[in-house]
Amino acid sequence: MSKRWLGMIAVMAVGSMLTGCNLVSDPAKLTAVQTQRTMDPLGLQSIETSLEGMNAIQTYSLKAAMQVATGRFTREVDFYGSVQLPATISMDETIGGSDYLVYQDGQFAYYKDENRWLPMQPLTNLKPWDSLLQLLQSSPPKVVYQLPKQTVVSWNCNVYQFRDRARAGSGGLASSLPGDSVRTVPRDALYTVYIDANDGQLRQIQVQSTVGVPGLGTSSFTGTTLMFGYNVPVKLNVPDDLLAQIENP
Amino acid sequence: MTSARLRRLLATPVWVLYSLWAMLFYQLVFTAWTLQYSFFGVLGVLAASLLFLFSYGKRDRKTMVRFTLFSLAISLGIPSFASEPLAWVVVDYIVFVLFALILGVWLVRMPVVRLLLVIAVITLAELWVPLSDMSVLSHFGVEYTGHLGSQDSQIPSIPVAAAPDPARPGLDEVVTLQAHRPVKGEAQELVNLLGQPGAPAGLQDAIVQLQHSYDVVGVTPGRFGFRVASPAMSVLRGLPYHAIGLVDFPFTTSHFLDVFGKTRMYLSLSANPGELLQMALSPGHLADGIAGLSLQTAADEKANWDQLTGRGQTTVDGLTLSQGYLSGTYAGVPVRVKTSGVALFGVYRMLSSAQFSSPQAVLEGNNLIQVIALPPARPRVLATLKGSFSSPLTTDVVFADVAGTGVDDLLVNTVPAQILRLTPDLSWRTLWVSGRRSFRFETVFPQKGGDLLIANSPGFDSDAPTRYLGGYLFEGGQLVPQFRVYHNDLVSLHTVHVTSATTPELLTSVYAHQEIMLLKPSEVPWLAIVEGGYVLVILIGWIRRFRRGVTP
Repeated sequence: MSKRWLGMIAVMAVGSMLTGCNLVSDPAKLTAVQTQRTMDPLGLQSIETSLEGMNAIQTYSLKAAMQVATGRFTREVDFYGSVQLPATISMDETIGGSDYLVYQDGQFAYYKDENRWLPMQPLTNLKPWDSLLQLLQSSPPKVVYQLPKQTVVSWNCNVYQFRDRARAGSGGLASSLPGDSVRTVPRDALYTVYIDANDGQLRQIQVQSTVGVPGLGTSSFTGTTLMFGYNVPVKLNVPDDLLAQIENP
Repeated sequence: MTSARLRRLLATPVWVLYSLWAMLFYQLVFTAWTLQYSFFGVLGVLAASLLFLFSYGKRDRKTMVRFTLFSLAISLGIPSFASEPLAWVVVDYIVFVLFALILGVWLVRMPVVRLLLVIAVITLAELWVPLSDMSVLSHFGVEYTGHLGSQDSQIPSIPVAAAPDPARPGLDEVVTLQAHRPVKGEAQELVNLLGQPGAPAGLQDAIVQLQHSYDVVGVTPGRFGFRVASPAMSVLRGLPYHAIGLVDFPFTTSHFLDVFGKTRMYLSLSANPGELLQMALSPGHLADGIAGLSLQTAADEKANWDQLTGRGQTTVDGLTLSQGYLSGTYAGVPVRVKTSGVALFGVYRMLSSAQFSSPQAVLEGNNLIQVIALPPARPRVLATLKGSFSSPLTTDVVFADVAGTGVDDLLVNTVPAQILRLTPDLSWRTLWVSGRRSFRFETVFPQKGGDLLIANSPGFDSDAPTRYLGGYLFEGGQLVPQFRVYHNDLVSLHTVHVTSATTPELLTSVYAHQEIMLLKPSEVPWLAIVEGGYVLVILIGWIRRFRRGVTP
């Protein structure tokens, strides 16, 4: 008899645990996300030196993600592929749940949507480090911070962080937008640059920013570009199905 | 009637009921334990299973175990082909039933008719609530399920919204999307329309996208089940452009048009893959590029929606937000306040009526939230809450009266999520911070003594970020769980009144399943029933053992 009651009590106790325990407040989690960082007077120079040293690069591979959080959802575009300078690209791209391919060789530029290749405007700026150097030289940050060293893939990296306060209408932001939209710039962006502590090469760039979208509120953005396989020989041939489509339209 | 004959008559219904219980117990209890308590949950499952096993004598145990496994196999097997085209479902089902019967006769050694009834009843149960959604029965009843009806990967979760139903004052109509199925000759009709004056803008693109377009539909309760029809334009006019148009923002743009009196939606890429790649290859200009894309896409979508519905500026309680000013008339007094806000959340009581007799307007700007006093107080910015790059403040915010004092607090889905209160001295006080990064607030069920906070929360003893639905009360600085539903794909949750003006319902989209559900707090306590069922099953086992005097 006692065994039976014991069993029943056990069942009821475990059953009542279905909803789980109380969720206590954990304010430490708020400060945990604020990274320790220190001002580095030589930080800007360190970044520029690294970026200028990237001119010797002829080929590289890239893994990048652009993540936008608006309202309740986070959306992402992913890139993975190789670039052969000055103008050859082979890249896989995922937008939402759909896959795309991009192939370019000079002025011969196509992207593949579902099963069909479509011509596109050739891309001209294929050096991520050039655009960053241009940004630093056109509007040098007032302060550059250094963060604790981090390992990116297998590289021990010095990590630098700076803020870019863009002026209204700068950086090619569409000027044809309605009045309410233009009013939301200027806006801030936070750049985090990862430079290999051993060879000084640029390894990763992270960009975080927000924009106030009229009627919609804040849209926050995180873009991460990881570069690897510097000067590793790659063969970026025209995809067979693109050739077949051109030859047998 | 002799007791032996009665037993024979009741045997089949009892076994059928038992099979339903086994399916529900597995879904509502065993699955819940494992997801909530991880390894310890598995230990709990083992302990409960062992208790079940040894409650029965050797002869009974064999039958019980085999029949239980048979029932679970049937319940888990049916959904494996449920998503196939109808013809294949019929073929697969017939083959499945044949194999199940052979297995059942060989393994369970029960009459074919009884096994056939078990299969039929489990099938009916899963037609009522699909197995993947059965976990919601622990707290809710499923009022309605709707499907997109397309395998299009461009809509991972169906947008859902609720708008006041003009035909049923005080109740809502569900507005959502369904895949458009082109009919023969439709393209030709659209081409004919193209040449006529007054043809809707974007019709040419809509013809190209015919296979990938969606019908905007309204769902309302009818005499027999729910009625799905094209919603009235006045219903759509009441919704902002982002209510159902925000699909993969800002990378795709939603287009709307009126075709033969029905509202059609299709999507296009906001920028082609080459343009997006150029952004990724230019990190120095990336923030500007993505900001421009976001602003342009939102402006285009708003223009598309406004052109369809004739909707103008969003007005809340007589207030509009435009060109950096909150303006309008509130309580008969003109209001014009300069603000950093770009979106108007609405008018909420953020401070006690003793301090301010009227509620406040709450707005969101670029990574900030502003609270503005309204007449009869002097209209002005009272407080500003700023986000950071690591914890940006998006509109992912829920307002809730957590203490039941009539004053709303902010449930902010930063990482980690927080509950913030605007204090009488107009500063912000953090009431609660989530210990888990993936925890997020979804909506509230208003109630006296403190609103019920509906949230998606990870399991208790697991590092996995997977979230499950839960209802919590804020008591003593903690969130006290009131219910958990171990369904991990419920997104875009809204509190609505579709079938009842008094009982709040939960409207949700099921991520990756292209399904929407309308859930109503259940009047049938399914969880208590299946838990009680377990106790009964154990008791019956022990009673049989004692009566027969069988040793373990």
